[in-house]
Amino acid sequence: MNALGSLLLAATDAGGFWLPPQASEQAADVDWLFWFIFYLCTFFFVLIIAVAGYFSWVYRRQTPDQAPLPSPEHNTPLEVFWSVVPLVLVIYIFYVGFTGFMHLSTSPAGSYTIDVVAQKWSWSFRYQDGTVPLDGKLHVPPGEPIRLVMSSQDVLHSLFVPAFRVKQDIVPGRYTTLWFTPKPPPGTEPVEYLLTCTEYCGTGHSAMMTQVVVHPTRASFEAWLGAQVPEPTIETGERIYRQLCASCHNIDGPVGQGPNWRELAQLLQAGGARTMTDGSSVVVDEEYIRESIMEPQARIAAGFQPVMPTFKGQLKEPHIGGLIAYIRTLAQ
Amino acid sequence: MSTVPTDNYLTHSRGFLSWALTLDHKRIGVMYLISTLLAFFVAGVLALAVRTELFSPGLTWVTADTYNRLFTLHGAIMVFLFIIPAIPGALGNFILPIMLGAKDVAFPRLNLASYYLWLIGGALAVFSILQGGLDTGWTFYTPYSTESARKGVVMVVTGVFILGFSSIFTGLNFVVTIHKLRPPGMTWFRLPLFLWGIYSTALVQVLATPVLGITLLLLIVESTMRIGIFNPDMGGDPVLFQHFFWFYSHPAVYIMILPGLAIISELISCHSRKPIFGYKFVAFSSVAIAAFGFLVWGHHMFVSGQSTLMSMIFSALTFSVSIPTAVKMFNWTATLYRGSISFCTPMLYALTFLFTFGIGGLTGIFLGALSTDVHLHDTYFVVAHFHYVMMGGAVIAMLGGMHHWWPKMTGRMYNEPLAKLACLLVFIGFNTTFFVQFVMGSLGMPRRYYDYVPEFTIYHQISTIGSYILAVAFVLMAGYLIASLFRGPIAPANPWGGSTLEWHCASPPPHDNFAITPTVGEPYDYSGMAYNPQTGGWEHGHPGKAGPATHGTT
Repeated sequence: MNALGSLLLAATDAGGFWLPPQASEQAADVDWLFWFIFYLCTFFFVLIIAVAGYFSWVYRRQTPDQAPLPSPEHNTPLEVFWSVVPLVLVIYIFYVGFTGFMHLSTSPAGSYTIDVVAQKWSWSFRYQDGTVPLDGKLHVPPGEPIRLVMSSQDVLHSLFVPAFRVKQDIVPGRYTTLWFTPKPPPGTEPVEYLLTCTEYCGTGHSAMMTQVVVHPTRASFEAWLGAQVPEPTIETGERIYRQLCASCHNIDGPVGQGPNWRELAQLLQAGGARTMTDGSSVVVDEEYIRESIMEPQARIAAGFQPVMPTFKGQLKEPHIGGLIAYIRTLAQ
Repeated sequence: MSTVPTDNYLTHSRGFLSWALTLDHKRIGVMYLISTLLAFFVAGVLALAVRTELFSPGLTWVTADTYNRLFTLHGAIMVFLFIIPAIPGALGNFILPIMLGAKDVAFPRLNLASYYLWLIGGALAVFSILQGGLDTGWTFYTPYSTESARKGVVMVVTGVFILGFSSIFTGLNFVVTIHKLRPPGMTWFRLPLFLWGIYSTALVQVLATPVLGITLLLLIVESTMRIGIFNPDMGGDPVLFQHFFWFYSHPAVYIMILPGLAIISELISCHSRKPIFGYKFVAFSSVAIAAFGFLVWGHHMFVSGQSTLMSMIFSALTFSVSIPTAVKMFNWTATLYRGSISFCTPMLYALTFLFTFGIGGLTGIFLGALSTDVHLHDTYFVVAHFHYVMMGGAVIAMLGGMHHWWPKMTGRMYNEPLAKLACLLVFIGFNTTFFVQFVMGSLGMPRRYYDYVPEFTIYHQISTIGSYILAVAFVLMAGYLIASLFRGPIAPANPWGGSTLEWHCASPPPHDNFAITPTVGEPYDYSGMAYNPQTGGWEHGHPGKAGPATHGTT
């Protein structure tokens, strides 16, 4: 990896030393301004350091009482000059940044809309036909504007796709939107880019990460969408566990924010009971598990905080059936 | 002048109470210096703990919850207990009245009260962060900070507000002192630039800090009376909290950096033996930065959901701050032209400052521009930027100021070669720690992340190694500075050939600073003094002088 080489070259589609790949149509505009500021700053920085270094060395004190050479105490035209030059430059930078921002903020009419729900500490995506991706990734068709309508179940989050150069906070109590046009992948395979949360949201903030999958064609995206009807299988359950539950519920190992599932599975198999914070006792059966997912605040297992969000509206029957099937396998 | 005068502010009275109840601005300055440096030490150790955790992805040595508490404490202590109070509280208190030829600040009792408010507010804030296990970051964003499981935030903000009052008292005191206690001959345009900077800072302290009180009041109203203000569940708006928070905290950024800029003006002038090039431009640029600083808080919120119109206005206003800052950089550089430039430790810090603050200021342009900020916001690019401004700016300037006025404050010289070595290590360690953070940030590494994708490992490792170099530098610095108190050579009254009034009184200064109020001329007139090889210091009162009529001791 020739770091110095890529340091000196602007980012290309493949990404460079400073910037990630340009995977959206907007990225090139943002990067153009980035590099304009970068070279301008480098110029002024080198200028100041070179001049300061040169003066410091040439006029260094060689005897303790060396007097300075005569020089002017001020020079108003010069000072006005070096106030006005940066002023003109930053007005230009402001203008380019502003027009770029307006472009980033205004989604074209007829964009393909996907709903995004953020919650501690996972992402859920829902397509217009109600489909929820089985793998928990944001799948998008290439070459057309995609608009995300985002809401939060709990605290502030922020959706950031570095390769697309887009970011928007997600605020509880209102919708925020974000749009991008993904570039078609070079080959015939879908390409994945990182999607992260960039507004601090607590324990699992850095685990609140998934991928954007850009399909090579609209047709392959449609095919993927059509195949998203889940079966209530163990595999469905395990996938949902990894995507939504694993950040709080461990199977083995230390107890997380919520109860361990190995223990839960053993209680389910044995028809055992569990103590709640209010002192009551509840038999662990399938209905208890369903209630814990849909109305988690109804009953809280002793020793835990009431921190779990509801998954009502996000998980459908086949998902819950899959989760219960998966939990059953954990009893061994 | 070759021996320590028998009566100075350190020996004037003895015993614990003579310090605890002192009204002497110099002792209060020393108390602030020791206390804020202690806070810097604690927060620095927390920073090392954070960097050590980030050495590898996933768990390195602490859990995610512990990591979140570590960075919260690091930020809160650094900002509220160290950077905001350190330069005005320690160096401002000590130097400002002497620079004015005054016996003390205008309100000595208020000054002592501000120190105790600092202690009480600091103790309350740190205690409630620890007690509540607060993991919100120093910004306390709602609704995360006000969720039911997290109780401490009202107490923390109360502590911060008490700290704010400490800051208001100091600011008020300095404003009045500069207005009323200037010596004969010191017109506004003969004010040393350090005082222009401290004066601008003091205005911000007095005007911005009350907003923190309003925020606190609204938080209390919301949590006790259940009136929805910030909490969306009760009909409030979390973005409103961000507006309130930054309406104080952005001007607070200038409370942190303006005194640093002020110190640099003194250092560059003194150690080049010539007046600052374009005194008026530099003086007015401090006031301009303070004034514009009130109008730019929304640049923290470009992607928060505020309207695009507001983002546009805040972006435009933000660039207005860059002009006076650029003017300062150019004028400092021009001051070096045809000077007599000493490479003593304070000047090395000033030159380091040109480098690090230069990067800090210029990278602000990426963040002030709207479209690039969308990509860089809340990534390590921002972390690197504000560390280059706060540490590369304010802390480096404070270190320069400390080394510059150390002989004045303690009456002792420190070990110069070791001090130069420490300065070099700070330079290397600082840039190693933070420069790579620009790279990983623009590549997309979000901030406040406990875990990260493996691609970022190498950057984090370089950064962590840099932080260890910084730690070594600070341990070395603490070592030679403490050693100087016991074994350092006796400092002359004016070891650097400084022209401002503090160099006219003895080192350390006597209790009353000056027996007779001095009359002053131009602040940066270096003509009236001569170097004395015997003492290693400069002596005033030679032909052509324009200095005061008296020396400090009688």
